[in-house]
Amino acid sequence: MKKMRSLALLFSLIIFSLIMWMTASPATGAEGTEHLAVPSDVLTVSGVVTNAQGKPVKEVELEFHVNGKKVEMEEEVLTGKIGMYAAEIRLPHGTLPDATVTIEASKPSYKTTERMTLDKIAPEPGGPAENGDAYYMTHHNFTLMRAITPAFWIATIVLVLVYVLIAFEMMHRTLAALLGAALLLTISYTAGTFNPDYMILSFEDAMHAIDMNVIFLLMAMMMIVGILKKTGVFQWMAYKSYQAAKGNVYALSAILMVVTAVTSAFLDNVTTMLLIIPVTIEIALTLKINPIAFLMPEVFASNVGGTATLIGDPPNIMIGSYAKLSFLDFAHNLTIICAISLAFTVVYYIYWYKKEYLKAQVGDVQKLIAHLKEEYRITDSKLLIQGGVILAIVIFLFIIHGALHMEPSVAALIGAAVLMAVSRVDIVEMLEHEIEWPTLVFFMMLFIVVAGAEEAGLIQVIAEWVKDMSQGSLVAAILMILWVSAIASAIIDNIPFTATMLPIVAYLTTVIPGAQGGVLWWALALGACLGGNGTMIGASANVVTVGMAERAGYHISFMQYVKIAALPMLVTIVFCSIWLLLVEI
Amino acid sequence: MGYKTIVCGVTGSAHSQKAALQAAVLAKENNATLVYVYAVDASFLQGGVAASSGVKASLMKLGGHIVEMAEQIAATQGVTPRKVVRAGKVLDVLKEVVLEEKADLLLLGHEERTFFEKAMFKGEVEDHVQELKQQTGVEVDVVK
Repeated sequence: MKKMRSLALLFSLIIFSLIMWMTASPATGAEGTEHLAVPSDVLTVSGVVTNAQGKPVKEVELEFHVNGKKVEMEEEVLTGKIGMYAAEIRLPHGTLPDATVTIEASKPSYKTTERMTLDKIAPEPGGPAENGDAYYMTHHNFTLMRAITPAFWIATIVLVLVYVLIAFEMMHRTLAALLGAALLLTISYTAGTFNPDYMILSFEDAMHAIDMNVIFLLMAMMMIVGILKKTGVFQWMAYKSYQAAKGNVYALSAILMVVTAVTSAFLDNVTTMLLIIPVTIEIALTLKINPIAFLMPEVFASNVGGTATLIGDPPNIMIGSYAKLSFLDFAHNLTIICAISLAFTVVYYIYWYKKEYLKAQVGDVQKLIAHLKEEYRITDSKLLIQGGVILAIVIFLFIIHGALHMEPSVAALIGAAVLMAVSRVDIVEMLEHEIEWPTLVFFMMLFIVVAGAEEAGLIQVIAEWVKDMSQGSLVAAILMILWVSAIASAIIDNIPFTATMLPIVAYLTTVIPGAQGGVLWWALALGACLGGNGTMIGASANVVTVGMAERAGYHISFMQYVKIAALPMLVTIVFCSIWLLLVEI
Repeated sequence: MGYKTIVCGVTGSAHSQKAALQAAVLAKENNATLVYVYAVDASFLQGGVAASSGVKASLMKLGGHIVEMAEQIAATQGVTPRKVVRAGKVLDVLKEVVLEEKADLLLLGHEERTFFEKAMFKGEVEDHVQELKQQTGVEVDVVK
């Protein structure tokens, strides 16, 4: 036993000595390369590396050659976040300015450049230093071209795979995105370690890609809504709608649509629908009409209302955060067109369901009002006042967040934290039951998958294609983004679609003349949010509505839904087209 | 064959109301106990906010309203039913109630679904009639 301990001690000493020697070695090497004794020519090279779209490229590795011979640098020369690099090259005295100095740049997923000669090497003003060193400088910007590497194909396949898994509901969307993100990182840190052509996304880039502003904003709003839900205010609003309609079914339908739209503009559409649907079904059943005749207009209005504000729908939150657009920007550019769309929705659905509404057996209005009043009263007035006041403050902070240079998520977090503290609601219960963690994880993983596609060059390829298709025309670009977003969002989840479109629209905004005002962002927001109205799978609120109607015994088939919703969706997109072309350009 | 206890699964649909009426008629004929059941099944929401108390309470209220509608149908036959509103998957709730009540007949309304809806909402009650029969050992009828 003692012998074993001695051996272990000896082994530890050897390992420790080896570690000390290895860590000490570079320092010794550095000392050996000091240039204090002999005067040198010192060349400072700086510049910016951009891609074909003019965006800075980070982590580009740079190599220098002098008269054909590679310069061994003490540290790797890499570009920073804004694509800038700066290198100091020490050469034997007298080498400059006549020597031929070349630069070569490389980065996975990009073509390695040819050696480019650095001209205009000029002595720095002030003459040689006291130790005899002669200083020179030169500046060289250049463009790095994309290469179609295995990383490009892998990132493309992973993105398409995630879309397919989500679209066909082959697994939970969060799991699909998680698998995609994990696959990208696994390949990057296995094959990519040995062959840069397989390097898709570094862990640091993956972390950087997650937009925490979006995550925190969603989380904080879920907390605020979670508390408001406890007050029964949503159900109370449905009862009040019936009271205000005074038994007039047409008026009831219109009021329910407006109430749902306004609520959805500030709160999550799914939660709004989840809480309003049961009361709506109860009212419809009492009136002896098919609840679908109220639910379809409601959910359509919910999606229209959600489009109007920065916080109304997840695509808007993502767009606002990515493009640094404020709450007021959204209100200024989208509220009027959404109000127009809502007015159309009210008229359209009242006309569409007029026969169903005629069947209503209104009976004793006061009796039903009394029943609803009893059943759907405010359950916690104090909590409602607290929640209402805090929500009002949060909305006020949203309005002024641009002026305060405050991210919207900060405003929401402040509100959520204060409300939690004031209301004394159990934070653990709140976090466990009211925060939709699967949704938040879905967002995080999706950001990573899209960042992989961006790093590998796929997004740039699509962006270039869109630019070519629009032939640089702003009108064509607006219509393309609006209509493609609308149709795509009716078929697939609008969240991954929007995440993919963000860098594409950002690029088009910079290269298409006249787009710098941000009109393409509004085209994306309107298309992605309103397009979801087209089918039952186009928006989460639609799925929830169909599901809850189904559980109450009222079926609506996929094709019936399309028949009821696709036409008004297309009409609202036509309105948006006119709005964007006439008002926003 | 005489029935002692009849359980009828209800929703708000017209088909379901037919089943509720037939169950009431049979209950009167057989002088049987009638139980209307509504399952608050939010499993299609895949957890999340569906699990929260506000949503559940709201759905339970709706369930209460639906069984009250069935109760009014039973009243036309002079039958006073018992009402059960319970959270859980439809099939599980039906099985539980049938076994608890020691029922000898389970009546369900015909619920037509398209292929897409079946895929979306993972099957339908009618697809599981055989399974319900085997697991509860009672007669299961679907009213069309």
